[in-house]
Amino acid sequence: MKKLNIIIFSFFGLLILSSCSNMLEPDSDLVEYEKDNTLDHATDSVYSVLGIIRQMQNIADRSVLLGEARADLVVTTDAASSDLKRLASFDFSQENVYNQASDYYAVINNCNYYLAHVDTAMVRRGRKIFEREFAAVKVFRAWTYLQLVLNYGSVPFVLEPMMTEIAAREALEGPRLSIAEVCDRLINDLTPIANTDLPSFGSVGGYVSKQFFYPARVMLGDLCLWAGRYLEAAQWYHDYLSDRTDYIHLSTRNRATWRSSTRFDLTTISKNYDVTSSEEVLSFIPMESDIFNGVISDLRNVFTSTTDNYYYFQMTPSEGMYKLSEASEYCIQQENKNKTGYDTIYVKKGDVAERRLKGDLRFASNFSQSSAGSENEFSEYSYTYQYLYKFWSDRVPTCRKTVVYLRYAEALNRAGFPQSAMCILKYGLCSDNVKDYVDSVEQVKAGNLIDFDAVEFTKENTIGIHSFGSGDANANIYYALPQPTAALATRQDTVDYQIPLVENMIIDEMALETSFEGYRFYDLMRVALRRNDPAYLAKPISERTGKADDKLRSLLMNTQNWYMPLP
Amino acid sequence: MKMQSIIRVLTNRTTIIGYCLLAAVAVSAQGDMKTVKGRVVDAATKRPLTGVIVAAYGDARYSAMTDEEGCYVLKTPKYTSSVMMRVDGYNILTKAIADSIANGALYHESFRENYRRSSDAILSAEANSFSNTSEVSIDPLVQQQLSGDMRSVTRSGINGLGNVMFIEGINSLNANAQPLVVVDDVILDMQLNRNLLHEGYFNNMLANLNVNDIETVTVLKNGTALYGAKGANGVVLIKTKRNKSMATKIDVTINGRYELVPRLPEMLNAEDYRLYSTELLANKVQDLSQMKYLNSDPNYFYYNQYHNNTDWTKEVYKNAFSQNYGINVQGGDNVASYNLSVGYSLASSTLKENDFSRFNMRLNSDIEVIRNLNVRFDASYSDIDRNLRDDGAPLEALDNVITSPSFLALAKSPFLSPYAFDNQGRISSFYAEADDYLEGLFDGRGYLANPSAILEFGDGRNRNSMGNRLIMFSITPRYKINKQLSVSEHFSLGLVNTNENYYLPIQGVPSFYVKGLDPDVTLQNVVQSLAARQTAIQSDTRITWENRYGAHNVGVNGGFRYMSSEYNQTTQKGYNSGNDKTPNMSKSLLYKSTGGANDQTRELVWYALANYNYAERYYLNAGLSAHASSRFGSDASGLKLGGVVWGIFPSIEGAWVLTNEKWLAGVKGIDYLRLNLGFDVTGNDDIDYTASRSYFVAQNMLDNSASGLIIGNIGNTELQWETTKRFTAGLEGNFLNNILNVRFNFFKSWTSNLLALRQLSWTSGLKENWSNGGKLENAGFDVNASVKVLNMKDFHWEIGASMGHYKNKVTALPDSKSFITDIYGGSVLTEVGGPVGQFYGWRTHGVYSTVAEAKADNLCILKANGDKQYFQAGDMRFEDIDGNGIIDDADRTVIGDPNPDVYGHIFTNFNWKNLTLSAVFNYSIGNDIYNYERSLLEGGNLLINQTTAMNNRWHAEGQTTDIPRVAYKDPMGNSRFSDRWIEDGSYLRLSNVTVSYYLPIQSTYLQGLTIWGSANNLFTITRYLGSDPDCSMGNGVLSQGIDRGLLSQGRSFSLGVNVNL
Repeated sequence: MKKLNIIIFSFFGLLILSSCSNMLEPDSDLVEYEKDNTLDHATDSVYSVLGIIRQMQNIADRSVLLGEARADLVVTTDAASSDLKRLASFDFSQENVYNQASDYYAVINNCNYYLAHVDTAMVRRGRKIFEREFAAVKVFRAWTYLQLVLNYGSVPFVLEPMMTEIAAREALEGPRLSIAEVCDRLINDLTPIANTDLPSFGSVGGYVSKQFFYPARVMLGDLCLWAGRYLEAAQWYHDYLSDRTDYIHLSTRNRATWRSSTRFDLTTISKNYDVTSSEEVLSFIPMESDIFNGVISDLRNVFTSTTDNYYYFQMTPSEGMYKLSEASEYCIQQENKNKTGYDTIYVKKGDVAERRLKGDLRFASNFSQSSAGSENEFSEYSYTYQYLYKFWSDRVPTCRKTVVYLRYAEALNRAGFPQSAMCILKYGLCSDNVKDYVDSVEQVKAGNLIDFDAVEFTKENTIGIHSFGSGDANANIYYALPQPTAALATRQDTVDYQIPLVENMIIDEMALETSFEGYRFYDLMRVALRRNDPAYLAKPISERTGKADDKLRSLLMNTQNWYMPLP
Repeated sequence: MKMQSIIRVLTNRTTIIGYCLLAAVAVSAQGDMKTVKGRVVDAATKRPLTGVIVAAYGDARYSAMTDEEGCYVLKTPKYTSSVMMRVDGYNILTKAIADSIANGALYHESFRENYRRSSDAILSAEANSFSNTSEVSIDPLVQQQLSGDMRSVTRSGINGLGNVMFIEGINSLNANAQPLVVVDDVILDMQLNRNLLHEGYFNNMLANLNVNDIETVTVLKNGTALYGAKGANGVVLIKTKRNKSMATKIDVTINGRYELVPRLPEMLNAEDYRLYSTELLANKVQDLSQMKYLNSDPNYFYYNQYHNNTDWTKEVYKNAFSQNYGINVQGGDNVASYNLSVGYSLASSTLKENDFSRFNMRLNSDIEVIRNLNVRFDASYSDIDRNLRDDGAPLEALDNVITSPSFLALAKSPFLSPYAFDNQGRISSFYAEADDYLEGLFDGRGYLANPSAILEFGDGRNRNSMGNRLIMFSITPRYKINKQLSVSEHFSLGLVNTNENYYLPIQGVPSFYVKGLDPDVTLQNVVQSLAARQTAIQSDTRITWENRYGAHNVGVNGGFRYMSSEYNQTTQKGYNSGNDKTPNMSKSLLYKSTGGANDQTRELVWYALANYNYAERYYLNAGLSAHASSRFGSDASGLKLGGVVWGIFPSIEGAWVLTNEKWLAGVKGIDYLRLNLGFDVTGNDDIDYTASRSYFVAQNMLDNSASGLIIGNIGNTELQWETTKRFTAGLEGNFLNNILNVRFNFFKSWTSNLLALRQLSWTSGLKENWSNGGKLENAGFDVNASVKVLNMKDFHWEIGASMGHYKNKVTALPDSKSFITDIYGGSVLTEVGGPVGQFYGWRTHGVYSTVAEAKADNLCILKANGDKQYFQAGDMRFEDIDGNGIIDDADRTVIGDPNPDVYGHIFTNFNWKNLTLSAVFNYSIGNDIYNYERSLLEGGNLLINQTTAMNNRWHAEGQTTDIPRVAYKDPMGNSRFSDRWIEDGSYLRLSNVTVSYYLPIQSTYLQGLTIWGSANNLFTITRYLGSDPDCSMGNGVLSQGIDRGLLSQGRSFSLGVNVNL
């Protein structure tokens, strides 16, 4: 009997112990366990790429707000959330919704997982089927890392997926990389895929899905610009803009201009200068149109009066913004009465009806403020309202044509080619303009860096960026390449004299062109770091209200305070 | 190779244990016999009892019977220390043998049984008489009988919603803290955390059991090794009736119950409310006289519409009638015996449209297939149907549409009528639409629905109904290899099927907005549906061996249990169905969403249990189980074997019957005295199903046109069960000729590895995952005592009481961080050193009666924009704990504790011949309740009706009152979570009074008849202002002691008859 006992016991024991681990392995219809997510099928890959975009939606608004709230072109209103107010005053707490580093790592980790697991070697119909997605995901990761490091100063840098708490903890405790180090690593990471085409899933949710993807060469240009590798940066931007399969032109039609040379009020503005058209935007993060479906962009409710915010907008253009816009001279080139030549007219600021219309018109064409007839204390709605036309509810742009051109100008200038850079601002870069406005020494030195196809890029279809809002900048004598008052010893001395001044003009132009779009803080930061001059950032920001805020200025003189603290 | 050696070790180990025990007890003297004599009498009349079976306790082989003189002579082994006496009509008696004599005085069976037929070392408490009741679920009866052994709190007055239960304190924080329920050896998944559609409703699995089918309910306080990682919260064993005799017995039960509308808050009448609302609107409306409802001209067109005095509770509550029918047939022969029962219950609630019906059937059979092989086969089926509506106070009264008729009945303005008025100003028979007296204000928010319309237009099986079916099969072949050894396999299959429909009608309901949905889209109604299915399989293979070696009685069993459960749930939701004729889910609905669950768990348990006793004097139980579960992480700390992690759970218990020792056996006044000790290590495996694994989730995106796969969780591979170590000690005794029975138990437990959401390293990109961290302790006691006050020939009277107490304390938290959980406008603080669930809010000291008083304190709040706003006359005087002059979050402190000091019950039984009167009181002392419902009804900040207490609100300088001035949306936060809403929840309630009369009939067709009548909940002594201090809004540990105004129990009266055929 005892034998029987043992036999029975052993039998069950064998049956059960041998398959313990399998028996306890669950399956699910609701979630996909790691072991099942093998990424070796085309749809898997698409789902995963979309999943990364889904994670990017969480940081989309932040990519704009962190760049504006901390900068000098806007100030917060009373109605602003306390998180936004704290952001504006550089008081960052762990609880601040805009200070959640983990959201960046959510994108990064999903990218890491994808890049580590996708089967890049898989070939179908002679094409490596995941090649484009692979490249696009690398760019997503680089874009996110750059956002992250610019906001946090130095960050843990991991390119491997973190699928256990231990791996995540190791990354957290590991070394932290500075902005330049992160850029260098990412440049190495991206260079091999720089020329890979963008993937396209066709139309997804009514969007052209190709535009979900940030161009790799622009990304490389950005990274080089931050890393101080200007020649390379200029080269990447140039290669992108002059790519023969897809030339990037600046539209000469889309400008904010006075229609009259005598009347300067709202009715005589040509039209709104539209920076959000698909013509202008190179890539964007698609957002949900309805919060029911997921993450929507709240930027409209921050910058603009809507019924959702009871007209209480949270940020409004600062005194700094007004001043900057006002500082431009608006130039009109008009054929003279005899039709024998052109007159150049400068709009007198005193003739202009409203302050926001003085100077550059881009500000006014994208911004208006008005108030309801009478203040009603029983209304839940705000008395004043404001409109900023740069925000869509369903997408957050990440890259614009003019931005690429301006950064190209910045790179060229720092690479030692201020005339070419100036040409981009004032005339537009094409071979005719290069011949006219860039001297032969610089032409030779810059060589292929400023070489544009002569048929594709002409004087007629090229325009200086300053002309988008300040009239005919090409004719404007006040808007010109700075020249030393007295001749300097060498040509190089002149170039060295010009570079910082042209850079100032570029950064101002960036502000006029991309105000409220989230670039400003980083633009100031980049130059301040480059010049090792914290005041370049501290001064305008501490004076954004029109009054000098010495406390803020001294806070910002320490570069460490520019960054949010990691938890 | 490795596997084989493991098996060998395991099997060897078991055999070795067997051998050791054998060797230890092998030597025994069979020849040494002694003669025990004694006389057995009736304790009341002292007359001798004839035919009493007297047997050596624990060993029925040695027995004798009393003669006419009540005398017996029993030859029994020398080691026998006590005898058991039993005869029909009397309670069992155990008597220690003193100098070879054991006399007994037996008590009538109408007294509570104080002795058991057999003993072991395990501590438990049992409830067993569930006849003469009209309850549809066992929970309230267990609450009545075992109140001191288990803290039990009523979930709601809706039929069959049952009770939350806690045994020996509260042994968890975030995981389930309620006991494991085992029905006939099958672990029942209580579905404590399953989502349901109706607010305030809970799918109580125990309501699937017919009370009439239940034989006993036992609360296990230790010795839970068998249940491994499931036993930490104690175990409730439910045994259903099985056939015991060969005679066929048929019992028919019929009863009915009439329940009265429960106590409800007294609300303002129409004119008082009109005044109140005017006061709230004073600063909100430019010209109050323009408001239609404030026009007091009787000829005004809208006058009739706004000049009613409606008691809305009459529209929503009613006296309710319930009925139960059951038939139970028992019988069989020596081959097969069975117990078959069929029952039907139809119960309505005092809250309209919350009715319950249940059909249930159960067959318990025992079949002797061949010699030595018997099979137990049980099958049961129950089908519950309900109609339901949301119940209870809403979470955000201002932002959400209020859907619960019960709350609307209190909140709705009394000057409105449930019926619409025609254009002549005459009342019609059509239901009125939602409130419109605030037309033009507040952007359409805050209007109240017509509860009558919700009841009427929400009615229907496809609208608001719920069905639950439970089917259980279990088959248990047991083969007896020889006298000592047997093998059994218990296989059971349980199927639970739940479906629920939810419909909020358009008619009578205001259009509303839902947070998170487009605020520009007006929503009119909601359609929801839920379907869930659970399949649970349990297989338990066991080898049992037992033998007696003289004074040594040994039993060993060991085996293997496999459990698997698969739960699937699908929910659907959508808005705006167009009209009330189409209440179904359809494609055209707005904001359609689906949700659900797909949980799979599999568990393996190896266990070995041994029990031993020496001469029924010393008892020892030891158990060990190894538990592996798909919920545990692969790197959990435990025994790693066969590729999985095993939690090891030992337990050991000992008992010593002191009265069976020679030196105490004859001592007068002490009839029985037993000491119990135990130490258990148990676990709590209520871990999220997927928490230990990394997985991806698909998310719909870009307006549902695509879906993206993202990392959903980084598994905590170290995730494991919560471990509870519990020490128990107890003393049990019968004294003064068994007149007095006392049981006292003490326990102390230490729970570690508390499950908690832990913040993940932010580099993972995820916020948190489940992990183990934190500790808590419980210590307490329970005491039960009963006295046979009167024992005469035909008259018996017994009184008894129980008292339970626990004190729990959180002793460690992850990173030593205390945390605050917000629940229903209140905050619950969890901190090291404090008990679980304590309320954390502001302390108040009355209302500023004058400007000068307020000025003197000079306290203020900080508005969102940083401005200070000072408290004025009529505002609450909050305590400024940090002394900075600003009343803010830093001034919060502990203001209440939902844990009671003591709780228990008091019972009494009178018995005169065939007439029995019994009464049970339940009580709880020292627990605080956060009266959330009252905080809305006396908050003075919303345009909802208020209780009459609001008539005392502060109005004028110098007025002394405890109700502050009213203000819309309460800018000063006078109604914030403060001690104003924390009340003493102590109560003493007469839970049940039952009178029954047994009519002995001797006829061919009728064996007997019992007629009974009972009253439940006759009165409650309490200072609590809410409807019922015996209330719990949820199953979670941190949501105890919060009253969200779910239906409370009314007085009820039942009448029934039990017929024995």
